Amino acid sequence: MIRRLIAGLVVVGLAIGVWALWPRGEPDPSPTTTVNAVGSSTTSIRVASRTTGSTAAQTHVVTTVEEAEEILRALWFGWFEGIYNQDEERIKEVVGSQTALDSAEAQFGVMEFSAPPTIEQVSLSGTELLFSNAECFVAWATIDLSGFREGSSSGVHVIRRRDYAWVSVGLWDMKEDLWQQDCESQLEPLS
Amino acid sequence: MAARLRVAVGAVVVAALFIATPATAEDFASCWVSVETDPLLGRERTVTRCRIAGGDVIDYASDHSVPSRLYPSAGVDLGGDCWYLTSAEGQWIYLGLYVNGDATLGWLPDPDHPEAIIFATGRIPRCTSEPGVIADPSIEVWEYVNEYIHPPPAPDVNPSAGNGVTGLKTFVGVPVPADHATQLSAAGVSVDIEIEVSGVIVDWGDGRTETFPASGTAMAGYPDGIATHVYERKGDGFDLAVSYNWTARWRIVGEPWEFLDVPNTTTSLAYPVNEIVSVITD
Repeated sequence: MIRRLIAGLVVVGLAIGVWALWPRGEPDPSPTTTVNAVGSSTTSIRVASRTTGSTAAQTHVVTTVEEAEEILRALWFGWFEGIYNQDEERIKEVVGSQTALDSAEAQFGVMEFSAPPTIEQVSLSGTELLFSNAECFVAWATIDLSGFREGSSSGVHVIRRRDYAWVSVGLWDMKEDLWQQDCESQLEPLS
Repeated sequence: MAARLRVAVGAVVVAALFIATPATAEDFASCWVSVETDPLLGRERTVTRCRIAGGDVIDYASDHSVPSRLYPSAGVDLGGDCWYLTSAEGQWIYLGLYVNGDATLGWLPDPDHPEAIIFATGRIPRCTSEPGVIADPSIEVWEYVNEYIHPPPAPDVNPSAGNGVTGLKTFVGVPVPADHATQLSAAGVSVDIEIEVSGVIVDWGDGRTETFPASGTAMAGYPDGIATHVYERKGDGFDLAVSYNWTARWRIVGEPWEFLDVPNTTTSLAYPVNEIVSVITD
């Protein structure tokens, strides 16, 4: 009787051991799926082809104001740099709509600069993240320029992911405006 | 007891005063976008403007409560065909939405059958000024067709009215309009329209009605036309009527044809028929 009891306990123990060690089918955490905070060495926010990308960037969701501001700063610097140098290819790196590209080209030789733009002279304030997913984020922000142009402008910035990089597709007047469709619309190649 | 009742009633009244009435969103007849260039950024900035139903034009979301949902619709603004948003649910749905604000809309007559989209607009821009509403392209088609077929037949009768005689052939001749085909833009879609007279109906007024081919030869009248009739009895004024039997059809370019139920256009005239009786005299 005692032997049977011991044998039974051994079987139960083995069963518990197997259950405890059996894989649960959960995804194996991989460095490529880890979303890191801004400033982390492994986070790669690819903007304007001037920074390097990674697999993480393809699925990365912007979740912080700092991150959004970093992207917006890079995009708007690219915008002004492209206009300053009358460089269509540079503009194409930072915009995602033909309308925006046409707007930039209309400013070639027209927009006044007191000095060549630098990214440090583009600052953002009052930023609020209104919407964000892996393909699009929308932020209310005030852009302050100094050095090459002077002034500030507040608005809703709609940023889409294109070819693993962020591009600007829309600028709206008010936070509650109808910018949602800009995140749902179809991106098209620029000509 | 009465004091408690007064307190309770007072509490209810006070509570009622402080319970906020849910804000009712304005009905937006139409919302379009106004595009302005941001002076600092040199970039187009989009401002949404809306006409409140029966009221003023406002900036969307400025200080007005906005509708929980807006629906697309096709219209025409100063630039031509365009699409806009309205708080009135209609029969237009999105088929495509492009990053520059263009859209392709589909016309869905029955929301219970989403597969039954009758047609689609081409790619049209978002309205940038207050749009005129065109709810249904078939309305424009209908107006065009009715305008085209408006002139009634102008028959030529031989013998002429007043000289009809029993036992002799009466000829009816009428010019037959040529087949007409056109293409026009209606509510943002290109439509083909075809109009033709498929037959000429002659009601001789004595109980007999015939339909003749809609050809110039057949309806040439006296002496070669085939639209003839012999009255067998006299009458002070048979109600002779000549009608064009119209066939009109239209389609969105590339889609199946749809027929319009166009009424005949008719011209009536009183046609007295005399009787000539031979009298043998000495």
